[in-house]
Formats: sequence, structure tokens, C-alpha cells
Amino acid sequence: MNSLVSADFFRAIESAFLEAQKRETVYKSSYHLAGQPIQMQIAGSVLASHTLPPFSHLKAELDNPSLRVLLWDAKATGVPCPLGLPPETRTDEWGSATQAFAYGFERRYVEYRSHVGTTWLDRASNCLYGCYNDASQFTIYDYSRPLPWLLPVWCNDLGVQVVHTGMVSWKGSGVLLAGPSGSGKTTAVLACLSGGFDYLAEDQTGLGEQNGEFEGFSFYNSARVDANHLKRFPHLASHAQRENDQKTLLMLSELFPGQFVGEAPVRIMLLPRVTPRENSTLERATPAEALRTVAANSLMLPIGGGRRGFERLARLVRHVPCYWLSMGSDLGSIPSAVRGALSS
Amino acid sequence: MMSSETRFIPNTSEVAAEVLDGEAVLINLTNGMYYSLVGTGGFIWSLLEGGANVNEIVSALVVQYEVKAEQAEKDVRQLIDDLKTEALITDSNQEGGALPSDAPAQRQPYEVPSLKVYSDMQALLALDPPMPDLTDAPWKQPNAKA
Repeated sequence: MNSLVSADFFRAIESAFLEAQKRETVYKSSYHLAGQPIQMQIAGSVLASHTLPPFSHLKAELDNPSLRVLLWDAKATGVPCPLGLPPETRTDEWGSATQAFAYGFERRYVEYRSHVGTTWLDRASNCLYGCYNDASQFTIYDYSRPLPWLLPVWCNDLGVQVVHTGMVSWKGSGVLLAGPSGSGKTTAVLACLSGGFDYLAEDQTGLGEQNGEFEGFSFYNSARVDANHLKRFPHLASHAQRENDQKTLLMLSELFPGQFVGEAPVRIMLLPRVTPRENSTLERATPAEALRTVAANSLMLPIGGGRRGFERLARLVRHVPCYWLSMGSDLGSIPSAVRGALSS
Repeated sequence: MMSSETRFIPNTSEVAAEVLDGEAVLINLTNGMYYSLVGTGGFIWSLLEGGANVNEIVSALVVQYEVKAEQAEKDVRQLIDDLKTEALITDSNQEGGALPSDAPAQRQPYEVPSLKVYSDMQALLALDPPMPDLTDAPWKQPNAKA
């Protein structure tokens, strides 16, 4: 690697952030995420007000961060986004109509570019920089799950795989909820929260593995809920931020204070499905059914974990009991069914 | 027509597979198609992973299950055709590995092997296909121990 060129590339990004923080108020805070201390510094009040709330349940006073996240708002600060990875250093480029991802300098750096801005991760120094064009233009989609690509990359490097599941816990015992979009994960999570469970995740969970045991990690306390589904939770509906007739956002930390944990051991996995019955019931799922369900949805996330992720999920479904959660119209029956699964 | 001596190998460059309680779950990591091998399909997949050819698979089925060789061969050939159509296996020049040698005290009831295909992730992936396998492409300090 040409270390001089590499240093120049990242120094330009660091310099831009230093300039941005001279021009706008910097909001500093620390969090305990994926079992690690991380620190965030954000230049720009609107960017901070959009980025920090989804992590607020993980806030902690911590020193020696394992990851430093430094973000600025280009419009608010007047500091434009740097050019980014030099073309000749880019590898493994991936792109779609709305976003692009690339490694640079022999995969030391990772760059993610979307319509809202560009973020860079230095995997050597564990620094994540981000320049956003104009945070005042963010949609619910943009600010409900900040840093959607580079946090999973950093987690992957730590051995924490991001999986497409919800997660709640009861008295310290974690429950993963796996299924495709529309299967009822969010309904199950909200029903369990209303029934006194603690929250970890609504859609994306960090999955760690140590000594044959599995740990779930929380990332966001923000839940994107379809407006039609929210009608089933009238006590929550008035708190939802609405962007249009379809998409709403719930900041769960405001609605269920004290019902949050950053991590919990995974004891069971549930596969929710909606039924026309009134009561919710459980049936044992085979490990193969559980693996099909969780793997297809998790490995096809953009940062899905690949082959090793698949092997980890296979170990998970062999290790923990898995059940179909057939959810009835009586939402109050869901948490009692889940408690029943934990105690069986 | 495929030879009874032809050996096959899982397409490990794109496909990940696990056999759980006799059922094989396969996923193509590049296009999101995923599959279940049911009936005796999980047993046959384990033999294919070991490099068995059609003759060897049929012999193993007849030893382990209540099935005649003619029926077993017909079903194995159909399954292999299906697996090749989905690019889950390819022909192999490698030598075969060890096959189950012990006959069970009692043969098990036979179930026709079949491949179930799930394509519901395709629409999602048309918008955002998965990234190259990050965990197989980690960055390490140049002087870090592997």
C-alpha cells in the first residue's frame, strides 16, 4: 500500500471535519454499541437531531472509544464533501441507482455514497467520517437507521453479524423474531413491548457468538411502521412521526422508557406469522425451517455476512429452540405466548 | 444422458448449504434463491458433498432405505438434473470420498427426494443485491497474524 497517498486521502476528510466543527456547534456523545464504546461528534444541529435519537437508549459515559464517528452537515457548515477514494485505489465496487459502495487501499477504507451524502470507514484507526449534503432534507427512511452500511461493516470486523430480525427480552432472556417483511415482526415486537418486555431491535439485530453461546445487540430504538399496522396500536399512533400516508416512525425510547437493554443472550427464536384466529399460539419449528427463514432475509441484506454468516445462523438454529408464532387478532395474547415459549 | 460414474461437487463459489435433521437448506449467496432438499434429499446432498457418483448414491439409498435400485436411480437422476438446472452442483473430476458403509439394523421408510425452490427474495435483490462477501475479504494490519 502507498501509505503516503493513503494518508493524504484520509487527511483531506479529517481536515474537512475539523473545518466544519469550527463553523457549527459540535454535539458530542458516547454509546455502548455491539459491546463496544463508541463516540460520536456531529457538526450541525439538524444533523445531530436526526442522527442521535435512534441511539439514545445506548447512551453511556465511556472513555477510550473503539469507534469514533465524526459527521458534518455540508449545507449547515458550508464545508463541502471531499472527493473520497481515489479511483485508482477502488476495488470491489458495488452500485445501484441510489447508492454506491467501494473498498479502497487494499480494503483498509470503505466508502458508502448515497443521495444524502458520503461516509468513510478507516478499518485501521476505527474512525468513521460522514459528510451529509443537507440534513434538513432527510426523510424518515434516512434518519430512522443512521449509518446503515458502515456500522454493519465495522460490526462484521468485530465478529458481530447484522441479521434481519426483531429482538426483545424478558427478565434477561433474549427472543429473536425472524421473518420476511410483512410477516409480523414489528407487530410482535410492539405487542411484547406493550406487554412489559424489554426492547432490543425491531428490524436489525447484531448477532455475536462466543463459546457456543449467542448474544443479541441493539442498534436503533427507531421503528419504521406501516400506517395500517399502527392502527392496531392506538396508544402508540398519536406519537408517530408521519411522512406520508404509508410510512410512520416511532421513537420507542420515548414511548417505553426503562424498557431497553443493549444486549441479551439469545434463548429462543420465533418465526411470526399472521393468522385469522383470535389467540396467538406456538408450534415447534424445525431447525431447517428456522434457517430458511432467518438466512434468506439476513444474508441478502447488503452487508449480510456471506458464507460465514450462513454457517453462524445454522449453529444458532441448532443451539436455540425455534417456534412458529401464529399471531391472532388479540395482541395481548402475543406476549403471553412468547413468555410461554421462554418457559417451555 | 449423465454417466453413472460422473461425480458432482457443490457449487461452493456461490452456494452455501447445511444439513439439519435430514433436510438440506441451500442458499445462492449471489442471487438470493434458496432451496430445501426434502425426503431423502438431505441424505443425497451429504453424499454429493462427499463426491459420490450416481451408482454410489443409489447403492447407499438401497442399503439405508426401503427402496428398489430402479426407483432410487430414477429419483437420483431427476434430483441431480434439478440441482444442475439451479447451478447448485457441477461435474467434478475428483475422486469420491468415504460412503456410509454400515447397513442399519432396519431400513428406513423411503421418501422421494425433491428440491423445493424459493424465489421470494428476487424482487428485493433486483433493487439492492448483496455486497461481495465481506467476511471473506477482511482487512488486516499488514503485520497482523492471520
